[in-house]
This record gives sequence, C-alpha cells and structure tokens, in this order.
Amino acid sequence: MLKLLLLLKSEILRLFHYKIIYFGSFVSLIWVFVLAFTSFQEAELLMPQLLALDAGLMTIVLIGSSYYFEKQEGTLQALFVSPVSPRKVLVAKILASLVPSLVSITLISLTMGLIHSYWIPLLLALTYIILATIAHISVGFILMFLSPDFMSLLVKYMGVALLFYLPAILIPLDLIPESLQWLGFLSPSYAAQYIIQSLLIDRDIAMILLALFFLIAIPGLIFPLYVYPRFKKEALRA
Amino acid sequence: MEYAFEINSLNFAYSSKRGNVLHDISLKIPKGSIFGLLGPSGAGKSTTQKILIKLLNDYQGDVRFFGQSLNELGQAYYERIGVGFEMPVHFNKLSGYENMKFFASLYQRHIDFEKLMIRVGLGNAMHQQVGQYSKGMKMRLNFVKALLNDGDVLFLDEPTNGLDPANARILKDIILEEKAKGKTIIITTHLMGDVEELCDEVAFIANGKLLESSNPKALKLKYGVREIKVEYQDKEGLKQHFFPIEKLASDAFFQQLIQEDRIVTMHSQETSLDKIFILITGEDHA
Repeated sequence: MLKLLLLLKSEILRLFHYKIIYFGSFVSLIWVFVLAFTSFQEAELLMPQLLALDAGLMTIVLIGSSYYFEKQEGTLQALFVSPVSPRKVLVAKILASLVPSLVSITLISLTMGLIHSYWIPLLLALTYIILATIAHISVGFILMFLSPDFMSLLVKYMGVALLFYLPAILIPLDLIPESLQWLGFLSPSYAAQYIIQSLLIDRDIAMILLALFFLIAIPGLIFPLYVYPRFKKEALRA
Repeated sequence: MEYAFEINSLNFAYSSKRGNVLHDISLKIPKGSIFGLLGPSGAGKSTTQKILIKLLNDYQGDVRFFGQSLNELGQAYYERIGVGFEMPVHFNKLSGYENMKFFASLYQRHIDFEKLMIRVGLGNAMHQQVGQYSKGMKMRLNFVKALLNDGDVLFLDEPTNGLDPANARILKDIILEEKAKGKTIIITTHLMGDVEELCDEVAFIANGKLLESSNPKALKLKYGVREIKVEYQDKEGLKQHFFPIEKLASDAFFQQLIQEDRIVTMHSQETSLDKIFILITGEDHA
C-alpha cells in the first residue's frame, strides 16, 4: 500500500512537472468560462457534454502524453527493475489519471453552484466522473498499445472519438429504434454523458443502471484481459 | 564455489516467427566476481541481461540465482540486484536528487545516495533537472541508481561509455570497491580496456551463441602468440623482428644479435583482448 502511495505521489508530481495538469485545468477553465456566460438552460445542456468530454476523451490525450513521455525517458523500464509490481505501477497510473477529471468536476460544480445557483450532488457526480474516466482510460490503454507514438495515438483517437460520439448524435435524432438505444452505452462517452445528465434532469433509472453497468464492465474486462497482460511488454517496447 | 547465476541451456525467441536470438547458452557467474558479457552489437548480450533482470520471462532453459530458479523469485528479487541500463532512464523534468529520492523510496534499504552523487561529480548538479544534464552526467546518475539499493549483484551496461577518463576512473574504482565488498558485478561492454582492468571472467557472445567463457588471462594464453619483439640496429637503420619465445634459445639470428650487441629494445608480445574479441567473434567491435 505504501509503495502504491509513493508511486501515485510520483505520478501526480509528474503530471505537474510535465504541465499535463495545467493543460487539463486550462481546458476546464474554458468550460467554466463558457458555463458562466450562458443561461442556466444552456448550461444544463452543455455541462454533461463538457464533463463527459473531460472525463473521457481529454483523459485519453492526457494519459497518452504522459505515457509517451515515460517511454521516451525509459523510466518504466527502471520501475520494472525495482521492487514494485507492474500491477501497482498500472494502478498508480490509473489513479493519477483521475486527477484532471476531478479538477474539472470541482471547477464546473462550483461554477454551476455559484453562477447558476444549482448545486449538483458532488458525491454522486464524483462517483460518475471516476467511473467514466476509468472506462475511458481502459480504452486509452488499448489505443496506446496499438500506437507506436503519440501522433499515431492522436490519429486513432480521432476515429474513436467519432465512434464514441455517434450514439450522442444518432439517439437524439431518433435514428436508432428505442429498443436498441441501450446499445449506445457500449460507447463509454455516451454512457458517461447519460449518467451525468441524470444529475440535472430526470432520467430512466433502468437506463442509468445500464449505463453504469457498461461503465464498470468495460474497464472490468479491458484491464484484466487486455491491458494488464500486455502492460509490461508494451511499456518496454521501444 | 558459490555462483550468483547458473545458466543452463538458455534459449530465447522474441517471437516464434523470427526464430531464436539466444541459442543454448550455458554460463556460471561466480559470486563476488566481475563478469564481462562481451560481444558485438546485436549478439544477444542485452537479451541475456534482460532475462537475468527478469524483464523477459518467456525463455527456455534454467536460470538460477544463488541456487534458486529465477522463475520462483518475485519482486523481492529486485531488492537484491541493482541495474544500470545502457541508456539513461530518469525523469527528465525532475532533478537528479528527486530521481534518486524517488527510486530509493521503493527499496527497503538504500545507500547514502547524496554522498555517492558527490563522489561521481554530481554534487553541484544534484538539484538541477536531469533534462539539463550532459550525457556523461546522465550516465553517472545511471550508475548511482544501479548502486542505490546496495544490491548483492550489479548489472552495469556500458558503465563508462561517454565518460572522460577522470570520471571513468572514479566509476571503475567504485566498481572495484563494490567487488571488494563481495558483490557480483556483471558488466556488458565493448570497451576492452575496461574488461582487461576490471573483469575476472568474461563470456563472448555472438549471434546468440556463447563462443567462449573464461578469464582474460587464460584467453590471452589460448589466443595469444608467445613471441618477443626485438628492435635492433642494422646497416640500414633500426629494424624489428619477432621471435617465438619457445625457440629463443636456439634461434641463431637472435643469438647473433646478442653477441653483436645490436639489440636496442626487446618486448614480450601480449595479445590484447581487442584482438581476441575480433578473433572469437569475427567482428571488429570499434
């Protein structure tokens, strides 16, 4: 446990040193600015999308940049020959990747409360954001393992972003029959958006639970079956 | 004799399609020795080292660390070894001190790394970002990192590469001090001067095969030419001639040179490890 905390501390410290946390916070401040200068009705519509974007696709870019920095420096190699398990290294990375999303939800919640006098239930919001972020991190790791460099990751990320936002476009336009709309939750971005929306507007409980199920099942399958078995090998690959 | 490593019939392939990169390597690395793993680029030295430091696991054969199978050893194994990679592996945005402090915190015990950083000439740059270090400084920091946990076995990959002679001397002195403490040191290098000075045992690997394993002195005897180089005065000026040592007493020309007092210099010829390297591996490492 102590080693995990040490690894986590070092990961977070590096997020600052590599200015990743500043970049994430800067993007969050843009969202704050947008939400502050819109009406409550507009903010209510925008907020879930912005949070889902931060917790989702932004996280993939941020964790990707950190991962390629480390690969370049060879520090993962150094960690793998020290008495810490690759599992702890991976868990520390996942936990540290939550930080930008947590900064984002905090800033956005404060904006909604202070500007629009709407205080979203923070504990529930944090839980949703954590689940949404972890689901996206798992997808991010797949993309990283399939990409030899950061540019290649960005190209794949574009394709995935399009795919993940497709349900958010097709479902409101009623282009997907109601009976099949749950399939949209296969996209963690859509599932995240749906549950975050439920903090502001009434949503079908069954659908919320289904969205939560997918947000838990996606990383629950990807991490143990795909990411962890490949983590050390992929991290060591030049 | 106690061995730090006993390697038997080690085979390894990165993928089944590309075939083996290590072929049936068997080696014994005595405890408390400095062991040189030598060979040209791409020979399989680094792969062998990666197996020994458990970065590669899917090998065939048996590798034992102080009698215990490497496969049975968990993360605690890393408390007992120190690894210095060929390429610097540090967080460039952190200072040298912060890097060492972080890695030291992962071990149950660690040395006074500040003292060692000062000794290797990094005292003034301790709080400078590693990204601003020169290559030589990064190499020295690599070296400090390898010694950080006071491990029983040290793996040093090209430890003096890119260092000026003064700094290389400091590192070599520390390596010899570590050996004197009873540590086993495995050096991968292509600098034969370092090998001659430091190594008790060497193994030559080429094309994934172990070609020779012995001590440098025995190799020199085996591959060396026992001869004497004589420079002598002639009518046309200074000339030189090589005489086989074993036939020296009966060599008429040599006797004549002595009688006529024409010998200017006389040196026994010792085959360098450089020459032996080329002879064994068939390649010029330079």
